Amino acid sequence: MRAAAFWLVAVLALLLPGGPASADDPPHALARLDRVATALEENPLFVDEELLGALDGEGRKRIKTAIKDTGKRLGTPVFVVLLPNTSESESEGHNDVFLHGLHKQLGKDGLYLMVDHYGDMEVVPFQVPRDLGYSTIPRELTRPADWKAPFADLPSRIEKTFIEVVEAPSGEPDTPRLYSTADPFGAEDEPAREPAIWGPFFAGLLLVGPLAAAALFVVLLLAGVAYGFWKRPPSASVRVRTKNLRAQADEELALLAALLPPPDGAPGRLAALRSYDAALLLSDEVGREPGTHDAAAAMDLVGVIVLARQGREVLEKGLTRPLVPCRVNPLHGPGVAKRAVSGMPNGKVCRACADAAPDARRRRTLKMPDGHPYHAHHGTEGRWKRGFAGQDLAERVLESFGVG
Amino acid sequence: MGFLLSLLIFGLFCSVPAWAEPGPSRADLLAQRLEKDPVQVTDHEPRAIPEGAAERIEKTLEALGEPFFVVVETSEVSTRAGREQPGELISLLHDRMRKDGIYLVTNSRGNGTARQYGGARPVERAWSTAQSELPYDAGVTRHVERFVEILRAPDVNARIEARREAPESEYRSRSEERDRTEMTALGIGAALSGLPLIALLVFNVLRKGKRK
Repeated sequence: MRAAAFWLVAVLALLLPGGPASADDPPHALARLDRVATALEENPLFVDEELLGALDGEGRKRIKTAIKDTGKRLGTPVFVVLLPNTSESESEGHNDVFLHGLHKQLGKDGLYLMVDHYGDMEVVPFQVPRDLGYSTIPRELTRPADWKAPFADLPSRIEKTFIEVVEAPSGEPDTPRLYSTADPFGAEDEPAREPAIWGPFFAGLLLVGPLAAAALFVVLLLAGVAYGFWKRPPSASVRVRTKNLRAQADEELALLAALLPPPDGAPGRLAALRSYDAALLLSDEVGREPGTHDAAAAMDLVGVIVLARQGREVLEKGLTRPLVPCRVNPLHGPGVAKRAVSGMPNGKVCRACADAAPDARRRRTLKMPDGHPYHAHHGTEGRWKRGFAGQDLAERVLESFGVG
Repeated sequence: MGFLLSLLIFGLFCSVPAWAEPGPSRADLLAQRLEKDPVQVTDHEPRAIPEGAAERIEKTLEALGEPFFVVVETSEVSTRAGREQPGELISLLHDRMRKDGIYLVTNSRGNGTARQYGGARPVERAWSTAQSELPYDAGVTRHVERFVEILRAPDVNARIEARREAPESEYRSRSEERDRTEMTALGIGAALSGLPLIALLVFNVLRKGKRK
């Protein structure tokens, strides 16, 4: 008989809207609602077993008296419930949801008051002839004064709350709306997002992969360029070998000798002869077999070539004074434009050296067989202290031989 | 039907007049019920404790072959609300029942303690070990299962010590696992397009370099 009554109530509760339990909730969800409702049939004060220590006999007596008095003055039943209501309860910790569910389960109108395990109070008037707004009960009554002793002032809080309700203006009996809701069982948490597979995959395939490959490629390219620059062998053309210089010097001397003696009317007659003399002296001093690593001999041979060319230029172009060779590499030919040259004062350089970038120009500097740039060598008796510059090169060479 | 009956019996016991002076204490009520049913589970947390949890706990503990008394109480209720600590409640229950056996008081999250009267099993350490091994949301039945598993290990103390040496919870973050999966997918996609592309580019450059 009791089971049948329970089922009837349970089915009714499920059919009616609102309340803590929905149709999908498991049967044990309603267990304690039924338990509390059954107890309230006998007594209007329900203190849950786990909160028995929260009230002493005195406090219980005061609450019982307050229930009786209030019930008389309101003309409706009054129920007081003390029980834990955690977030794992069927009401998900909402006290108003619990009271609406309890009201449905009990099937009786009246003033319902609940206090949870934190001492928080909830009051819901079901068809109580009072006009209770939304915030009639002051907050200092619904919350414990001291959170460290949440139940110390409970009897007086309940008494004062009842006075607030009783003394509220009369109004039409009404049932307050329930604004809170409890989630269905098993749907308390946001459904976890499943890992997306294809989104990240295509992002990687179409975006990250190509971008990373491009970035890596650029890095590899830069590394390759840097490596190549590091490993670039010194240009063969700027480092001379004495053997080649000797051959070239002979060639240049022969070319100049073919033009000699110069015709009497030539304007650069004297200059050409001086150049030839100086070149011959140098050439004889170096000898036929200069040492492979003899930097001084190499300097002298460069001097032979420059002097022989200067003599030839003077005659061929009808000049009076010789042309100054390129300061970067005297073997390049006459200088045409003034440029900064590393390690030396600014001076005229050939067209190709003038067009080269500064560091490229530095790499074009003539180097002796020992690897050093030519201007690091001063030659025998400091003959090449000023390099191969100046229009008086032949005079300086002849002076160094004591000829003059 | 059995469930309904137990529900009604539970309801009857709980409807003892709360203000009767001097009323029975919580320990009195629990001791009375434990005499009939050795596993008492709170009905305040149906979302944390599934239906039939009491039966499962009972069945699990029977494997130990000793008498046991279990109270699963409501979480969050503190001593400020006048409730006893688990250890205190065990003493009070034993005072009233005067029975040897394993007493276990815990809440739905596994926070609690165990004590044995008339025996020397390391039940308290076994319970705290089970607690430290399991994720916080494992549920009370899994805690009891782990508790029994630890106590039935061939060498209980070694089993507990092993846990102490490797204190790693079984808790796994779902979002972390999801992130790992998604990053793997991204990596596979990137490798599938990026590696051939870089191979192609490098091959092209090398070929061009050789031709030169």
